[in-house]
Amino acid sequence: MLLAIDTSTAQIGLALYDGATVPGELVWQSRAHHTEQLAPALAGLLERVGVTMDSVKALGVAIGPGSFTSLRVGLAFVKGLTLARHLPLIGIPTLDIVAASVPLSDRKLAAVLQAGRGRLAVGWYKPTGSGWQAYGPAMTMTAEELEKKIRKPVIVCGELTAEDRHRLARKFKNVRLASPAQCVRRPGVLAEIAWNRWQAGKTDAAASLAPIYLHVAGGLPA
Amino acid sequence: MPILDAHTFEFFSKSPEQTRRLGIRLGALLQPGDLICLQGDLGAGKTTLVQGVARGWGALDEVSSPTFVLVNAYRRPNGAQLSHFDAFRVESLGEAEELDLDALLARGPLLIEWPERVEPILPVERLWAWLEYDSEEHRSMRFAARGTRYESLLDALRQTIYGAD
Repeated sequence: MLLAIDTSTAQIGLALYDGATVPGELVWQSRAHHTEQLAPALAGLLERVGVTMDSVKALGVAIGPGSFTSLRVGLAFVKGLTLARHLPLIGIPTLDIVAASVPLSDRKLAAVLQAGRGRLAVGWYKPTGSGWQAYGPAMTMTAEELEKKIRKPVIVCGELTAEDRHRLARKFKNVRLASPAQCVRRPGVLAEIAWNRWQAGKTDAAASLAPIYLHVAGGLPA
Repeated sequence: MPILDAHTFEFFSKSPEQTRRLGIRLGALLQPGDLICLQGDLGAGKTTLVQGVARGWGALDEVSSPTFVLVNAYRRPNGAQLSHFDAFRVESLGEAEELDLDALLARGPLLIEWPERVEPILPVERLWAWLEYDSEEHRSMRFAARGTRYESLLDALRQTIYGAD
């Protein structure tokens, strides 16, 4: 069984995945209470599903972009489990999870999540024979800036507020907005990507796995 | 107490006790997400003001200087949190950004000492206070509000002070 944890944003997600089924999946919105809620939620999920940590043989974690504190909470938690239980660890870029839940299309895809203060973290994906492939680094921008960048037909999927949706919908000829339910970043999808990476032997070193932080103000001194 | 303009006001404190009382009144008005910046040199009364704010807000914890830990959190019995950030030892804006002030603001009000060091990463709307050492016991303070929330906060503060003094 693989345990997947995503604390990239205000949305927290937990999933158990065994290669054939998803025995448990939990998603909720937390307002800056990730530290207090994560471990009890995992204990609750394991208990409800009727398994113990002994059945967990690998860990998947979303590594961002996202918000600084919430990403750290998830990574620290997963690294603690990895080191204590000697489990393989797989880190997955958060926007890859968003992209993987969108059916492949001939359009390009903008995967987004909330980056704070009304800005979005945006990653671009193109369709390939093996699924969506990221191109270029993720960047932060407002929905207005994203709207201006869109000149060809694209799909936009991920965390969008009602305001963001309204703003992007004005480009109705070029923008296909994923529905709110499709936009939920599912930890089951993270678990599946991480499982496939694990089966392919591509694991990460716990000591060096780092979150992807997107600094907002450009040109900050390092 | 001269009013410089509608969104600014000055306060002259004659003692640490008076500074603390001003802080208590301000603290009682704070809501989650409120950002209060306290600019002033060593000895200008920042810590004394923060002690008052924490008391007025209802903190259970003792106020101490967060110079070495960067951020202190003071709790209320209902689980709410008042954060107290000292930017004096922050070495870069990137480091300050990684402290995630937005997450602290989501949990409650945030007080920042040496805010001028991290000004580019602060939300534009805020209450900014300049504190100055005048003499042994005297301190002058100027408060400026930016944004509707802070204009009404400053109005409310002004009213409690006029009403009581």
